[in-house]
Amino acid sequence: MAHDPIADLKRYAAALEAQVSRDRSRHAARMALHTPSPARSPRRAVIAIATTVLMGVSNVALANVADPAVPGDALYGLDRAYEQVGSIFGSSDTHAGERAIEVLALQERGKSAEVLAHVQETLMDLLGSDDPEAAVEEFTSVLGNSDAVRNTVEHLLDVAKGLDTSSETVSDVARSIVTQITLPEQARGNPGGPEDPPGPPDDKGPNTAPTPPVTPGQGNQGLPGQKGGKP
Amino acid sequence: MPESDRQSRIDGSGLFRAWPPSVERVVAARDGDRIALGEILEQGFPKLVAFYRGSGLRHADADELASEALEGMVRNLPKLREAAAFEAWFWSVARNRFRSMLRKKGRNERELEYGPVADPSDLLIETEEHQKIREAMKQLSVRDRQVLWLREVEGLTHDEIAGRMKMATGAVRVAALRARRRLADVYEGLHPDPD
Repeated sequence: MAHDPIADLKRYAAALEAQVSRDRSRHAARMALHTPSPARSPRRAVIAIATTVLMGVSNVALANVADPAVPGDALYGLDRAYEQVGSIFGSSDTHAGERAIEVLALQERGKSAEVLAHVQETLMDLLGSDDPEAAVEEFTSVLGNSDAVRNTVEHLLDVAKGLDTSSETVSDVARSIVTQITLPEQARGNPGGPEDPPGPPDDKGPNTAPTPPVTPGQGNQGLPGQKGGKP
Repeated sequence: MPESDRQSRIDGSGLFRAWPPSVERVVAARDGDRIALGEILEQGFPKLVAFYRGSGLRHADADELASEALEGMVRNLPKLREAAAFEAWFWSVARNRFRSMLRKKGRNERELEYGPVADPSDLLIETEEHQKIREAMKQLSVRDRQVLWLREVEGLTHDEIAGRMKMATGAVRVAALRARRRLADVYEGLHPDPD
């Protein structure tokens, strides 16, 4: 009797499916439907990553614009980024690395306001992808980071921890943070950088609800240390 | 996929039961019908576990990853624009979760050398036929296993697989053909022709 491996494969698949009991499937579905517990939820990780990235970008990118670390070699950063991305593109679903390259290209040209706008738009897209955590991570890996950036993240994590996330998806929460922080006014009025980190929300405390998206030209309404945010 | 083909898959293998869900059911789930969403997740869970097992994970790992994939689906289903594309989207999320898991472990698919192996968490009573399939699948790359699975077990088209796995359609055709041939070759070795 001739053996048909594809037919056998299908039977094997059927056996594997049948191995999962209906009760187990129902339980898994119920668990997924309910808000994941903090221990299993990627929520904190996503918020932390998103926060790290946006701080990393707004500070590192702007610091690089202001700081002539690579004088006379405008393509240095870009070349380096291309090298880094070379090993990443193979696994990219979201083109996060490519988007990061675009950010760096804008940065090289000194278009700091466009940098932040592009970062904000990219983060929105990445946080809406199937795997936001990995996408943002990839984005971060190309943009790089710094100790100074990490020091400022704590303030933002305080904001994130205080948000009422019970009725929002992780991406929504992360988006709300992105819109709070990434402001073109930062680029135009305050090159920022590690020496001038943004602080916690000025008068709203840790339980501040997410502020509505800030559009260019509105000014900073939530974070002291940023242009327009100080009382 | 033509409805007739899908029906024949249902009749032929007995695998699919209420799968894939109807467009109406997907729309309801996407628009907030928790009962519809719960049913879809319940039906999709064993398919995910089987897919991950076929990709090379042990049962306990496959079960855990499938649970995580369901959570990702709950979060992202509201963003699904084309309800008719649900099945391709479903497998896209499944594959992304798999790759994300590998990334977290600092491994890539080529480094994932283990095949679908039996383990203590495995409740499957394995037949000789199952053992041979496992041995044959071990000889394939992880990507080829998944292409083969999505094409032959789940019945996705080459275009659907290409879109979900970020591969060119031609590359999917080649991978599927290579996987089938490899599987057949290994099988031939495991089932020597008596003549």
